Amino acid sequence: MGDYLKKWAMLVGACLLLFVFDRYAFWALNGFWQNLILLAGINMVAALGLNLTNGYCGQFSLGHAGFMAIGGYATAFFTMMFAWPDWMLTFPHPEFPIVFPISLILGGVLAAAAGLLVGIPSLRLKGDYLAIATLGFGEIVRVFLVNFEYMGAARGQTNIPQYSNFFWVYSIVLISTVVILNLIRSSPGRAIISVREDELAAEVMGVWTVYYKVAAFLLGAFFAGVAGGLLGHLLTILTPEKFNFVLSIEIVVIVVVGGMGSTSGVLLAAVLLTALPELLRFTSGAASIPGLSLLGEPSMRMILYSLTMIFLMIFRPKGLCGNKEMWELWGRKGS
Amino acid sequence: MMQVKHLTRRFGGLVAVNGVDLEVEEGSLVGLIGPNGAGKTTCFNMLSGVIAPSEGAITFQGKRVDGKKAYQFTQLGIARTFQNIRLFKSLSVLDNVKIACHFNCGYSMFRSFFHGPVFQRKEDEITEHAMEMLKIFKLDHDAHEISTNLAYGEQRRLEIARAMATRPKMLLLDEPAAGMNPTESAELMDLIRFVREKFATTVVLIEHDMKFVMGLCQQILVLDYGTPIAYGNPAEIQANPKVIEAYLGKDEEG
Repeated sequence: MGDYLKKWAMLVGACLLLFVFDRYAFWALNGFWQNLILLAGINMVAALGLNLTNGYCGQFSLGHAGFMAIGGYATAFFTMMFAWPDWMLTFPHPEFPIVFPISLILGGVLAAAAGLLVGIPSLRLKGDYLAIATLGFGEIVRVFLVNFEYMGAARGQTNIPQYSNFFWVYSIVLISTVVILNLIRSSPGRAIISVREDELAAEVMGVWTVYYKVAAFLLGAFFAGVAGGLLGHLLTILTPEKFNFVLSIEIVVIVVVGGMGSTSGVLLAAVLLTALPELLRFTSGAASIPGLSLLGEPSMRMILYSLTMIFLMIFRPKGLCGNKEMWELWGRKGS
Repeated sequence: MMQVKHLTRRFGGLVAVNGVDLEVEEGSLVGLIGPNGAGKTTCFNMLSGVIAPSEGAITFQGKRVDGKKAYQFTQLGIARTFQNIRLFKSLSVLDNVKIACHFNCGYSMFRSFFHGPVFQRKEDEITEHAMEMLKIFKLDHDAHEISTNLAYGEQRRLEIARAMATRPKMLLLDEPAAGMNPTESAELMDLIRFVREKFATTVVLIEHDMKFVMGLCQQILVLDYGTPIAYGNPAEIQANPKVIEAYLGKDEEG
């Protein structure tokens, strides 16, 4: 009992530390790094959600961008258009209004509702067929938003207040990580994993597999929705094009590189894969090594990025961490 | 305990199981035998809810259960193992058994997000129950081993341990001795007798090893081409000309 309260008190304490860091240190970084760090955090939240569906439950979904779009647009709607009482927009501070976390949760819930709607019919499908169905769902959401005049149609929703800051993004990363690790180390979590391992055996062991598949899908959609909300309030603009198929693939790549079913691996991969294309920008600069005219080519960084991916898949085909956590791999010789 | 009436399953034009009637009494040990392709596993799949029967009724403890899903069969107290071992391959031996305790876990998914005191207590109970199962099946020293690293015979034992962790009233074993050498299958016979007495479980099993079936079962049902051809105790079955014909063929006159 005491142990349990201590753990949660530590989590709150960690969030407070993040707040202090956000107020007193984060602004000192230049804008480029700030943006990169925040984007990495948002990718972490999205990838943690997808890891639940694709990694732990083994239901390969390619519709994550669709859920992010729903969450992003819904959160923007709630912070901008919903008639909150005035005090909520300035309490406790105009830059930190209480409406933001509430809207994020509402955005996540709406995305989860969409997950339920899509999940129940499409989770009858397996493997490639499920991937195609969810891919189709993502496109439906995008095309709907292109025609959604109320929120800017193809021009997108502009002037979204920039509420996403270091504190919100990383508190949410922290809480999501704890909640997901807790879930996975519990009986329902083991039920979700058993569906990935052997669906028939799980069913015969008394696990209601349909329920846990839908649950994993729905929770994954919830985290996607929250990530979408954070993204909108970081970029201050949301366009339907932002949430195209490429975004889904990016999140899938993070999960695959990190290791399907490894929370810490996915967090690491989110950082690496967000930073890598940016850090490789130096290769696009003027040729500094005589005789190597390839350097200075603007597309060079994408070639290097792709090569990194290929080598990674050759040398760590199950992702950086496989389906283990980093601390489980630590100290084990070989693997 | 379980009454099966006119159980039939068709796959397109093929009648895999045709009108099986069976009465399994509480505490009994029933064997299901027949040549390859006789429909034994199909029959088992229906008894465990994995596939629905085309016709017929299954009554378990006075309740109609046909049409229910496999997980509901298990929750009602019918557990099974598979002919080709189906463990949760990348999970530990302990986790394999813990998954079988899931539907009895006693807390909601919501509680599992917070790992509160109720969660902790229930989770300790699950671990204790799972370890107890492993101890009975002499697998406790390998509890944290990945399940595929176990030896073949141990994997078979783990499958039975996992099925027993669901606290079944009736256990269906699909070829438990397949691939075992005579010593191992003799040990398995003792184990099945032990499980039956210790947990007061009714056992129905499919097996090709005649020594195994005749030595263990009280009642035997023989299937041939999906149709039941004989039912009785081992001595009756061994003397039954129809059974001998199904297995060895007919002695042509002249």
